[in-house]
Amino acid sequence: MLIPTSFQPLVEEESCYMGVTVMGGVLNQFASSLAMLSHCKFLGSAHYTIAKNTADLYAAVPFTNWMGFSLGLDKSVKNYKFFYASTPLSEWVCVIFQYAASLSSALNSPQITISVKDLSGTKLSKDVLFVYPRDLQMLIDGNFAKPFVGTTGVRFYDVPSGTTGTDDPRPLYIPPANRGDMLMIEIFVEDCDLVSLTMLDLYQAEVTP
Amino acid sequence: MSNSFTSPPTLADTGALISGQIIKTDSLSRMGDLSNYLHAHGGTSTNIAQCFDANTCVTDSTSYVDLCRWRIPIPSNDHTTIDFHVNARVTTTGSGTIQFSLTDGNSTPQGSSTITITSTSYAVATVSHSFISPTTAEYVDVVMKGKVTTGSTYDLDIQTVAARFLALSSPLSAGATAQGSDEIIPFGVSRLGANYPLSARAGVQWRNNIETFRNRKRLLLAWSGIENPSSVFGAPRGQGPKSLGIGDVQAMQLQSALFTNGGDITIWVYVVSISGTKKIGFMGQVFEISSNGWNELTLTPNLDQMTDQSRSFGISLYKTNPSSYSESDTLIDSIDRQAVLNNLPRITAFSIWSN
Repeated sequence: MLIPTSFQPLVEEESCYMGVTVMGGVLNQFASSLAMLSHCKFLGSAHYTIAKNTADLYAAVPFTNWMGFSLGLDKSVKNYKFFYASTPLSEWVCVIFQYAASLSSALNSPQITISVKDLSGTKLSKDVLFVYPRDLQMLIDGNFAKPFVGTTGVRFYDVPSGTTGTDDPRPLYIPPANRGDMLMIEIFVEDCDLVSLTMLDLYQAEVTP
Repeated sequence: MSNSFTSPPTLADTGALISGQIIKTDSLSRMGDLSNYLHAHGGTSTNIAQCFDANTCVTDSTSYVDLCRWRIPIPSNDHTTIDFHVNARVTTTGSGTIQFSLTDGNSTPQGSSTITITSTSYAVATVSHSFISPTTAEYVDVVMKGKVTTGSTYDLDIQTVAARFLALSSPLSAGATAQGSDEIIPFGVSRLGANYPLSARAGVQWRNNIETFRNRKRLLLAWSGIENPSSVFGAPRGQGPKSLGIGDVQAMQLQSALFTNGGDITIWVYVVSISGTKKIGFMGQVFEISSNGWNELTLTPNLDQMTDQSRSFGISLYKTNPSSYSESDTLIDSIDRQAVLNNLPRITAFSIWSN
């Protein structure tokens, strides 16, 4: 069955009153509306901003983000741990992230690795790897430009087997035993900087009842 | 008659619920089950999510200082337990404490909980907090505070903070309940089984529950400046953002699904040092603000402006971010205004919700 992505108008309440013939369309509409809520509206999500040092090139510290992202991208290495409150329906989680990378050093080779772990740090599925230039871009004209956007995409893959090694960018896989848990999404960035992160349960337009 | 539900839920086949088909009990019991599931789990995904680069959200204070604040929607009157998760460290051997202090939308204090941090490398820690009294409030204000045990030696350094309301477990409590003042009536699922009449009451109940769940708020984005950072090591530590800046227009392009007929978006903006009327842009619309503290703004989204990713994601995604507004009466900070240093009107936190 198809999962709607909008709030369709509901039947009048009087359609459910005593003495009114119950029409198939009434119940169909209720069932469809409930499915929209569970499989669309209340899918899991998390939206992270990442606070940076606000100092500028001239050592002024305005205590505000005045330029979009931080300086000093060359050979930068950072390890972030984000939390993701999965739902019982979380199977594939898409990631949309903003990142900054600069070609100001020819040695830069941006790379971003995403791992899915439980709160004790046990890896739950294979890592996803973004590399330059296949999946990531670099600025060639300094640091003062908009961050790029990267995404895991939404292509359905076979369930990854094992937890070692890496896959090319794909949605993150949540094993059945961990769905509904608070999960840890660990992101390791090299030669670039992470600016923001959106995580969304993958919307599936068609679901088998 | 148990108000139970299965998790993950099973759906009623809408293909079997059309004119001319016999209404099967299987479909009805699944709909009751799903209605109960929605009350239990709806709105319990990540309710707070914020990250800070190393040495940005830091304190070396030996008494609690406010670090961040968020205003987040409460899923329903039954959702009164919230788990806080942090990834944090102390910079050298010692002990630091993070406190989450809660006040609901009726101005009723809902207690506080603490997490002690002793690891010198980033480590994950969790505390579960239960409201100290029942509430009918639509939202709760969370203030994150921090301190260290020994002064002049080390910092408490927080990288990530997140929270979620705990979903309710099956079966739901008997009887009607509420989401604010909107009624929710759980279904006794076996009453929807074979050999029971399909009452008119069940239809009205589904309809009302659906309306209520549609109005349950989702958090699209919650951001807070770091109000009182301090570091025993001095600069460049503790120099994170305290106010919303022009660079955030670019750096906060986070995406959320919005739905046709989903109504308005609610934006809460926390303002300090206001004088007169100032303005702020969100999602391309400009709003006026003239009060300190939390201000509620209502935005009717332009659903034509979906993001590039919408095409591949199969769902309409939108950037729920502040917009550039650079007139002299702006509340958005910049290198020219330096509102924190000059004590000018500024935004130190905001929260965006939607149906």
